[in-house]
Amino acid sequence: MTSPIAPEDREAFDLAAAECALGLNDGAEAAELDLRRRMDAGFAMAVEGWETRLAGLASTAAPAVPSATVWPGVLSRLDQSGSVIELRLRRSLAVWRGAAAGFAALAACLALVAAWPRSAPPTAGVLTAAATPPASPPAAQPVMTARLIGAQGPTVFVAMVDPDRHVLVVTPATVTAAPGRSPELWLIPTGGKPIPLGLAAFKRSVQLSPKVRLGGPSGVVLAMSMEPIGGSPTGQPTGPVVATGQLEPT
Amino acid sequence: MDGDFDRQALVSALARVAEGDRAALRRVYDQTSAKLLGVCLRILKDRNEAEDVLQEVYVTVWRRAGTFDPARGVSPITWLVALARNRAIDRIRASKAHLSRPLELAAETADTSEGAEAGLERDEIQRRLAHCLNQLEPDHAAYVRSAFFGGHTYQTLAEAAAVPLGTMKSWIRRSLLRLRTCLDQ
Repeated sequence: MTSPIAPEDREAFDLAAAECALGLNDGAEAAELDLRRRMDAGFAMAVEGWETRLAGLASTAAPAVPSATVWPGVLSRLDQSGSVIELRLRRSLAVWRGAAAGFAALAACLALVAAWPRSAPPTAGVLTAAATPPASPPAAQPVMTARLIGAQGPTVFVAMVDPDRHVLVVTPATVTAAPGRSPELWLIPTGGKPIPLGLAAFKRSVQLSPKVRLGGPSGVVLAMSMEPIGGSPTGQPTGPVVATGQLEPT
Repeated sequence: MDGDFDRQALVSALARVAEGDRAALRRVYDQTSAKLLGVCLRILKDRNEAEDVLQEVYVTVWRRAGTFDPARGVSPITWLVALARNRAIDRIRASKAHLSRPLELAAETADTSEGAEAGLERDEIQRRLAHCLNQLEPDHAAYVRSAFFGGHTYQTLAEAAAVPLGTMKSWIRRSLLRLRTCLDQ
């Protein structure tokens, strides 16, 4: 990783970032760049670099004051959408950057979870992204896990709950989204409404609200739906559910 | 890019939004909604649709404020504009309105010569972008603008221009590299 990047590779890398920023590709190519942006912090920064370069174009649009009804509309959508807050990508994603395209790292990540039963301790904040293993693996076992099985068969997520800290760790196995869609995770308590857990990107832990109850024999379902880029606008699943899994005691 | 925006005020308001502070979201809205609606309107060309997308944008800001990291060097207004632009592009693609591409392409081309330039007078960075876009082949600059404002992809641009996909890709890639070189000088 310390070897110098050949100029032509650098150029291809930066063009891919520009294509991602502008959305120039269709289909699988677009989905791949979208995934790469979410998994590779270096690539994400290159995309942001292009968004910055091109942002001046947006300034050619004349400002327009919104109608008085727009802000109340925002508030009522917030009331419907609960308290979801997404996670900041941490720089420790360098773990992922090592893999050329990032995809190979997914398999490695699964192995990592198997060998590492507890999530990294959450740092400050309501929600934290966990991307590095803890220094010393604790002995305790996770109490509940779920494998989210996609409609087409393969495992798309492995999720584990640490009930002591009320933290959920999700680890993607394979994630592909259609262009313009983001996979979003939901926790569905028995008989309850789906609770959004944020966009499914890569391994991370989510501090669950104290209101979320995970016990009970009938268990809790995790689901992933395909939402518009940036997540469901309503706070409830709006797109097709592509994978579900039940949290079960190990 | 920050223009009239108080960058530091926006950064701290976004940090408060990430903690669930609605008053802070209102401050972000007051500072930025006219600009973001302008971006949505430019893309969607329909006020109701643009205002609907604008609501989605601020709901997304509420949810994603914690992902904004000022340490990465991206200005908050750039982050917000990208969010609004991407939301509006999602909407226009979902509605297939961009399939009316030949007309739109012509409109974007026309736009480069007049209104755009007046708008670009606003600050140094925008002037540079206008300057650098003017260094490109006029058609090629129009394709970049159409991708930005019209949600066009290589594929739809190639169809609109009636050229092979590979040709369109190489035109745009060359334009983007020239743009980068010019802007990063």
